[in-house]
Amino acid sequence: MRRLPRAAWLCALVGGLSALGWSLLTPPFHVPDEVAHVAYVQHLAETAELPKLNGQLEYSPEEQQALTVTEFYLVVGAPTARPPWTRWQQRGMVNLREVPKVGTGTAQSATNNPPLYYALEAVPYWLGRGGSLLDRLVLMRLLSVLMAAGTALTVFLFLREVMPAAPWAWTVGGLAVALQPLFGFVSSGVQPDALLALAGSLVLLATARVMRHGLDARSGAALGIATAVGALSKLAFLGLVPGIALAVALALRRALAGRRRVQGLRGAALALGIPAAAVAVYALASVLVWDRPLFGADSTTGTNPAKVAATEVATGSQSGRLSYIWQLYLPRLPFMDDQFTASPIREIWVNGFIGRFGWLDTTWSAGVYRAGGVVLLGIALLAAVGAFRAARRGAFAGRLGELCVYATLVVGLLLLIGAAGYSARLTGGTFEQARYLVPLMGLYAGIVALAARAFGSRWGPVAGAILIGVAFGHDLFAQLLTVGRFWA
Amino acid sequence: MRVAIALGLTLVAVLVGVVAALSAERPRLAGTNNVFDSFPSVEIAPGQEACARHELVPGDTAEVRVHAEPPDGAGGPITVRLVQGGREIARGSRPAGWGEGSLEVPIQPGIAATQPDVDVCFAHEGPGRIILWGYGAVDERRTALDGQELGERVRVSYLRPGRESGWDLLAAVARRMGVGRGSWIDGWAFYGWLATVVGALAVVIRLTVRELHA
Repeated sequence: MRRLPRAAWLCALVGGLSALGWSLLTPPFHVPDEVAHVAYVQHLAETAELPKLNGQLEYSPEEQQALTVTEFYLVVGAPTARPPWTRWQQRGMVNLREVPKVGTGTAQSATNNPPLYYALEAVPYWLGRGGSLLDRLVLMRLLSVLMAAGTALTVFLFLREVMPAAPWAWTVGGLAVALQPLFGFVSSGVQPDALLALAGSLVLLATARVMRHGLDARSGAALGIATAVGALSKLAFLGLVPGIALAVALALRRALAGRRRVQGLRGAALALGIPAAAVAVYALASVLVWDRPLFGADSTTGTNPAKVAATEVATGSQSGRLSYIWQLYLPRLPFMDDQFTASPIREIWVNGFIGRFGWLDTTWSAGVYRAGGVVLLGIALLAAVGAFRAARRGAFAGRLGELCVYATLVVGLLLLIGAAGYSARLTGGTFEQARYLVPLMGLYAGIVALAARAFGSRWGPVAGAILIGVAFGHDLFAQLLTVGRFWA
Repeated sequence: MRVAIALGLTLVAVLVGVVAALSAERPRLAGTNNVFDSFPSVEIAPGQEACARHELVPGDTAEVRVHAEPPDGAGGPITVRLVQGGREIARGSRPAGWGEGSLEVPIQPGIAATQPDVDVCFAHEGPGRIILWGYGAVDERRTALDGQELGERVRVSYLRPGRESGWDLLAAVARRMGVGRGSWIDGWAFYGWLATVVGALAVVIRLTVRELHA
């Protein structure tokens, strides 16, 4: 195994510092759904049992107390409201009466999530046992910060695999991810998206290695473990499974056609068997031990993506679902009913990626989103130029299968998000958020790196430096925006 | 060298933007009671006084702001009193001619240190009515109209003196960021955040200059 470059570790350090900064400036519970995720961790850590939906709405008395003293429900979603910030209010938070740490066992929208992320978070929870819940929250957030650092490292290594001819581009892409503010913000809280982002990047890296170096026991096991981690982190990861399966199928076909049949078969068995076993154990434990649904609900809306994929929602239609999913990502076709009041491409994906923070209550002005959209469009166009130049150099020769795998990973995730979004729409909810794309941060890094490479080997590093500077500015301004929202 | 210049120029542009953003002066919050100002909440007829009771008035308060509406034409003169334990601790007034929206009333003397359990009272002599916006009360902190407690609570915000830039507010932000974070972070949250920004910048510069070459 190749030694990890120092630049990779430094990208990880930047990613960790950015996420750490976000965790320090963001008040407790003001990362999306952090309230529910903390409840899950607490219940698991205190009772060694997974939470269960029971019709109750209140969390543990200790968490309810913390939410009350921090005035969470008065501040969340209200951009003109502020968390407590006077020393008089701080005195009221010290020496609170001891209240039970175990409630009815609900974690509301997070309840049916797979347990891996929460089991990992139980460790810092227990390490912080001597402090208040707010103290434990600090430690739990640090674990997510470490995951962010791991994602930045993994993305760097992914670029090392797919762009071997331009080492400078690995740093450009790695830092683009490390400094992406939506990624940093989401990874700063108690939020399984942090592990989902890491798992997605590990899958990209493992997939790239399988496609480029062949399938054997080692590469298959790596892909299998990454897939298992993702599958047990958040159900949204299921969107990546078709792409993973395609990668294994293509790599196995190549192995069978060559002289590596045994290695290929071993690799395929591990790549598919490890996650299958992990999911099977989780499914059996869910039904037999924890008395939970076989396939849990998505953490954000309670929508069950597995059920959505398998059945038709009673009041919806397949054509409606297809139209909805199409319009979520592409311009509406003339024969389609308009499913959205505003362009979701702009409002959800572009503006969301530029950044909405807090519980989507911390936003830029319209002018900033327009300017940011222009920048993103510019990067996309430059990336297309970079890809064209790479194709002319023969960089994609023999890589059609690999490109199809990445495309399938993307399409699979987008379809899953769209299907879940349609179901949520039928019940009056809204589901889609740009943060659900964090498993694909490695591909975003690739796009930024390609954009820099559009300028060739002489000026490409210069363009990369500018992109890195812009990324740093984006992250810094996003943090200042959020500081202003909560503390000014 | 080209890479260092490109990065340097980009970061200088970022720095210029940060300085410009932080230099903008505007009225700044000392605090707010976080009541949703979602609905017309309390109607004050001429000669009546409505008091937002049991308010926590933050230190450095020089103005009181409410969302007010004069449904009968332009708003008449309005008086604000801050009463704590039966004693008036500050008072202010706003002359006639204001319209619907944010209504700021400067008070004298300013409130230097945070004061708990204060009644913030609004009175006017007409012409016409005044409506203050807010929401339903959920605890004992209610609004009273001429001493009669209502089931409503008025949104009140408190403003610092004058107009301040982000630089002027830095010390206050540093203090505020440590509140409600638990005892382990406490007062160093702001400084920790600042350190991450500086640290990330240093690593980004070093990494970019070292690694980005043809």
